[in-house]
Amino acid sequence: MKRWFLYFLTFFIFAGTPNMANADVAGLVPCKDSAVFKRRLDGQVKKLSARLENYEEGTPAYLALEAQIDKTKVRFDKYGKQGLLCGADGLPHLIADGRPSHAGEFVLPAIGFLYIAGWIGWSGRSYMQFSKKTDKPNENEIIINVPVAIGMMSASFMWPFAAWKELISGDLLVPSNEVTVSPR
Amino acid sequence: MDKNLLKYLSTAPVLITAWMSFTAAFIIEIQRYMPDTLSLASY
Repeated sequence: MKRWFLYFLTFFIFAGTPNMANADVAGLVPCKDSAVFKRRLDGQVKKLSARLENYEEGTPAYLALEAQIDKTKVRFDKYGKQGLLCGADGLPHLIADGRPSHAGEFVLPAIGFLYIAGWIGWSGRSYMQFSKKTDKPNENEIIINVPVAIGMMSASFMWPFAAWKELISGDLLVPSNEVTVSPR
Repeated sequence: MDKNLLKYLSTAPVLITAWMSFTAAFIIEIQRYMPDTLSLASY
């Protein structure tokens, strides 16, 4: 008797559950379909247009405001076309879980950041290693040898491959006992 | 150009001022031609 009751209860829980409404990731909707997003656009354009009335047509302030209105419309249009998702607040929410459909929101900027940071770091490291081999290393660190530095900065665009090569050949790392530590 | 002038222009404070000015101008111009970049997605 108890078992039958359990079977019925399980069946009705599954069958009786209402269908989920079609929402995208995390219950967000595409911004181009979001009414609140559209309301934000209309509100911003309305505020700027109201300020237009304070100025004569053709004056720099008037033209600047018109440019601002165009910029606003282009911005909202771009966010809609790029497939950004909006919440109930009508604001775009970036999806950072790595899915390819939203790669431009986090993954691509992250790769760009790591590449640029690595470029800067590799140039600095190369110059430091060069400076240590000169006969005046401290002076070369405060008065930079600009031609050498520019050469290192240009060569560092291939830093992922250079770093990999140095890792394989054993030049990238040193053993722990060669790393100096502050007195304990 | 005078060797001492070149040496002065190669000092760290001068170079950092010049380089940061260049970087700031670069970023500002990117904002002028590609404003309001929230996502790198194409459309």
